[in-house]
Amino acid sequence: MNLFSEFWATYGSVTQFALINMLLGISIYFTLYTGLLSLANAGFMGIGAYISAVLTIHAGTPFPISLLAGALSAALIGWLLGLPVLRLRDVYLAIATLGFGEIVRIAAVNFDKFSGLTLLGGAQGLDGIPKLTTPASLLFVLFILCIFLIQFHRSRAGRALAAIRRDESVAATMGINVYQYKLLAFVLGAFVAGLAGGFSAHLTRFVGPNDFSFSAAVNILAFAVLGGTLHWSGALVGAAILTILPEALRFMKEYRGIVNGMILVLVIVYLPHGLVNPKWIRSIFRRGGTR
Amino acid sequence: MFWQQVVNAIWLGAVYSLFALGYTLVFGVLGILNLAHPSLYMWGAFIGLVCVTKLHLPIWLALPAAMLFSGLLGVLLDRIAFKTLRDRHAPHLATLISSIGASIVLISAAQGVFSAQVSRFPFDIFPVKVFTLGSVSVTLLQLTILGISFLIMVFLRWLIMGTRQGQAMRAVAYNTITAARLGIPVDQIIMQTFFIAGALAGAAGVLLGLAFNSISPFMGGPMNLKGLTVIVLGGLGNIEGAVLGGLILAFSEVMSVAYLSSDLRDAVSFVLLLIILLVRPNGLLGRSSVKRA
Amino acid sequence: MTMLTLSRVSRNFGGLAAVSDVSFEAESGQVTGLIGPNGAGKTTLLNLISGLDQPTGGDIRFMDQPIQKLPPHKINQLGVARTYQNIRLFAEMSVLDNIIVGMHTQGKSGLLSAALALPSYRAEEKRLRAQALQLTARLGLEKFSDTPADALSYGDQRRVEIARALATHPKLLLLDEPTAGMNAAETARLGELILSLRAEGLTALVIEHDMTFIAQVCDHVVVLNFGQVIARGTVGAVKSDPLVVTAYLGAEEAADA
Repeated sequence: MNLFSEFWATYGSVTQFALINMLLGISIYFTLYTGLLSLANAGFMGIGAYISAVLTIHAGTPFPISLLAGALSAALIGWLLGLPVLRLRDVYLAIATLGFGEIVRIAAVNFDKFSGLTLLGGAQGLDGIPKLTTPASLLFVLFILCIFLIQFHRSRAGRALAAIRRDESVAATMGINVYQYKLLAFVLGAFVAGLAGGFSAHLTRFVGPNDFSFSAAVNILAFAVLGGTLHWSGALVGAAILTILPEALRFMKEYRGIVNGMILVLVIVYLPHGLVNPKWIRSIFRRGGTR
Repeated sequence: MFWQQVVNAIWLGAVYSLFALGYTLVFGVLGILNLAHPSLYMWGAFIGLVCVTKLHLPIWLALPAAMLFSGLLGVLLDRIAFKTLRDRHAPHLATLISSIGASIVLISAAQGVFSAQVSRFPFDIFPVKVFTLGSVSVTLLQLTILGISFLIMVFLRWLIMGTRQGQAMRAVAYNTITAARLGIPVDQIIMQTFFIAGALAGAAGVLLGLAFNSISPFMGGPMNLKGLTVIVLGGLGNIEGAVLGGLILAFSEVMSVAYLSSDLRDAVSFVLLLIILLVRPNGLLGRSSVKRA
Repeated sequence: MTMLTLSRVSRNFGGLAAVSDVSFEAESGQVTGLIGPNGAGKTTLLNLISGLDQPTGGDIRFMDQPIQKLPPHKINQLGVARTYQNIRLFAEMSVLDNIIVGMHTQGKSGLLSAALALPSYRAEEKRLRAQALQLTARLGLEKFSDTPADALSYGDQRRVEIARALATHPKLLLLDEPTAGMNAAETARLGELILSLRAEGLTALVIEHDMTFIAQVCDHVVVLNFGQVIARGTVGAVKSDPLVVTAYLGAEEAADA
């Protein structure tokens, strides 16, 4: 027990950040699994963070309600953004979502000024959020999400997404409404990113407009790409590695960012399926099973 | 007041177009949205700065030096981040991710080499001269940038429409397999395309670095969104469209700052982008001019 | 009764006419063959009918409803399914999963019932699986149910494609060169299958080069050359049509040159 509390004192916050990053990795996994590149998840995280924090501070809602409201808001905005953009070719999604994080920033900075309220704290950000995120709550949500993912992949919707990723036209001639399912993946991703934002706000006790920039979006992308997008556990592995890696790479100082970028390029070029390959997982289970 | 805004907008529009031309050229020829393009632009600005401050070169030598550097960097980028994917016929998604990774590498490298601080060209690098006509005034720098941008655009148009080189690029844009069968050295054409696009980004970097007098590893970010808006406005891959798109964005920005609020300046490009995606997703002038011609 | 009517259908690719002014009908309950030399525009027509591509002129009616502006999934839901000349299976999925994807529109369970594994969801999955297994049996694929689709031979993959198309419960089945890569025995068995499906009331439109196969299964053939219909009628009548003979001879000469 003593050993554990010592470990927790040193690594407790890193562990909780890793869990939040796992949520973010899963959020972008939904779109990548469908074959879509969305860079809006940092923005969705921002929406979840702001909405949940404002609710907790000003309306005094219980933490789970704040979290859920933040995630639902992110999903709603994701739906509105996805409606026009997902009808277009895939590069347009990358372009539109690239600008989305910037819009969240501008909206957050200017909201108080234009509305005359004092809610979001403008450029200074929102301070003094109660620390309500606990490791147990994070683990609980992550556990539920994993169960959901397992079930999801066995479902009709899960099969439709897999078919779309593999061959969109063929999926369409099988009667699958490709647009609708892309929208589903996009909105699910927004919801989970919003959830992660709520947890993050109630862990760091702060939300700032600059936390959801392009580089945040790229970090989220890196979680899923490193782990691989053929299986949901890839997002968890990638997020864990990339949360711990910067700690290990402190000696590189300014050049640390290069590692993130290199990982993206090298993994995509030389290891396109990422670290977690479902074929290996299946073979492990087969070996472990009775057969 | 109004005419001053118009002049400012034309000048700014030329600058945006210059940045966007290389972006749209690579898309037109290869179908790649190279999200590392803004990083080539940023490196061009820094190389121009180093030529002037460390090597004490005049600005008219620093500009081609920066273009050469960014052009070569563009070719290197293709060899490392795109070529293998292209040979493997990897999905779009992979290329986009690879270009994002490359941009992060380039930005971090610049941060390490030049520091994250904002750097500036020395004050006296370019003669400060203001021309006034009635209520409208223009600086010599603005006129020069406008002139150089214009020359580069005319040159690019000539290159693509009037030379064998351009003919080959158009063939590659149309279909790489057919082009190869026709005896066109496809790989060489691709390298040349990346070189030209990179050089254009480098030129934009030096000229904008001079104009806004603020050079930092992060200068590509805000420019990126504007550049994307410009090329979507004009139609992805459309050269003339990029020029038109640059002017439209610049006018919208200048006018909204002048008559609405300066807080909205940054939101203008995204709003324009969303409107065009909703109304005319193929851009005002339609798809790729490189392909169509 | 006419199931599918094409009237003056054209498709231009930037000035190049892949298909021009094509008109023909496919009668309900019959198998119509679509033949012609390579590059005659046969696959383009199939793409137009299945909604993957839109005609630049003319209209396409399926059971008296214009479909040329409908998206592919709507057309499929009306009852049109297809296979592909260059096999396009979901490669890493198992044969059974490929077929179950084809049953998409027959399922109803939403995300929630799946996530909570409600009895309705489990019953539906069981039903779909059973139907998919029946289809594998019918196509002689039962021993490959759990094999990844890309591990199969060409001929077997073609049959998986047909099973996947049949899984969508089509009224009209479009087959693009179904016997390519099959040996003689497989081809004959496929012919029997198509005839038995026809006996059950399925309408089919088949692109094929194998004239023996065409003679075996088709009630009626349409001959295309350079994007235009040059002959229509029974297999016997069309075979002796001088225009058809020259078209094929011309194509062979071009291939020899």
